[in-house]
Amino acid sequence: MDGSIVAANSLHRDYDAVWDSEGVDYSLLDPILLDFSEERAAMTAKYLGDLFPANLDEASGQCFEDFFWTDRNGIEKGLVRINLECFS
Amino acid sequence: MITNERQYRISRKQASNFEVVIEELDRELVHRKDSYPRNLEAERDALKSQLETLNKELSEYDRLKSDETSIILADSLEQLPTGLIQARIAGGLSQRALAQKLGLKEQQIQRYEAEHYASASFRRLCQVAKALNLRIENELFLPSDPGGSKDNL
Repeated sequence: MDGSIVAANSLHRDYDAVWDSEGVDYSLLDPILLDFSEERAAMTAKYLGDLFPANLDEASGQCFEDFFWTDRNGIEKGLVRINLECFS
Repeated sequence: MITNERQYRISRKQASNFEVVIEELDRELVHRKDSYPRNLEAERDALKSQLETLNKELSEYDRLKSDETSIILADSLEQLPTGLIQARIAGGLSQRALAQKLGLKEQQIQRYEAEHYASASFRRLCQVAKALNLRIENELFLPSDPGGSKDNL
């Protein structure tokens, strides 16, 4: 997860998050989380951020990690990793 | 929003990385179409969606840098800061050049633009518009029920 909410930034606009696509029961998943049309408009309206599925051990996860690991100027920034199993 | 050449180059490289992985997933999905791997399809669609956003930002920067832009529309006060950034790019003025005109450091303009001038004073916004030689015309539309708005004063 990245974005202003995990940084020393008082102007919170939105966030980006990657969720692990492995082991998911897609029949139980909110379909909005797979609706990427119109630049994820429905998802952003409901969850106030962009949520991307990716396999964290494969190229898709690496691609997103590399992408979110730096800001627009190529400077490294922090990411927050949340183990959702902690909440189950 | 891409605001300078460095960001443009970085975004271009990132878009290229996304394209490579999307191609890999597309090939894998063709091979495994019988088993219908839902997660692979979701991953591919997510990558495509982010790539679409990157390409849109790259195209927007290209469009602003081209000679075709002469008017920038801002139909709300909130859009004014974005309009100022777009006007600077379209005017061919770098962040450093704008900073010099205002007697500021380049990093200050970078910070202003990164936060869409959220912490800039109104006086500063006016100075930026003047430094960019902008002519701003606008219309302020009163509410259709002016009596109602007056009650709230």
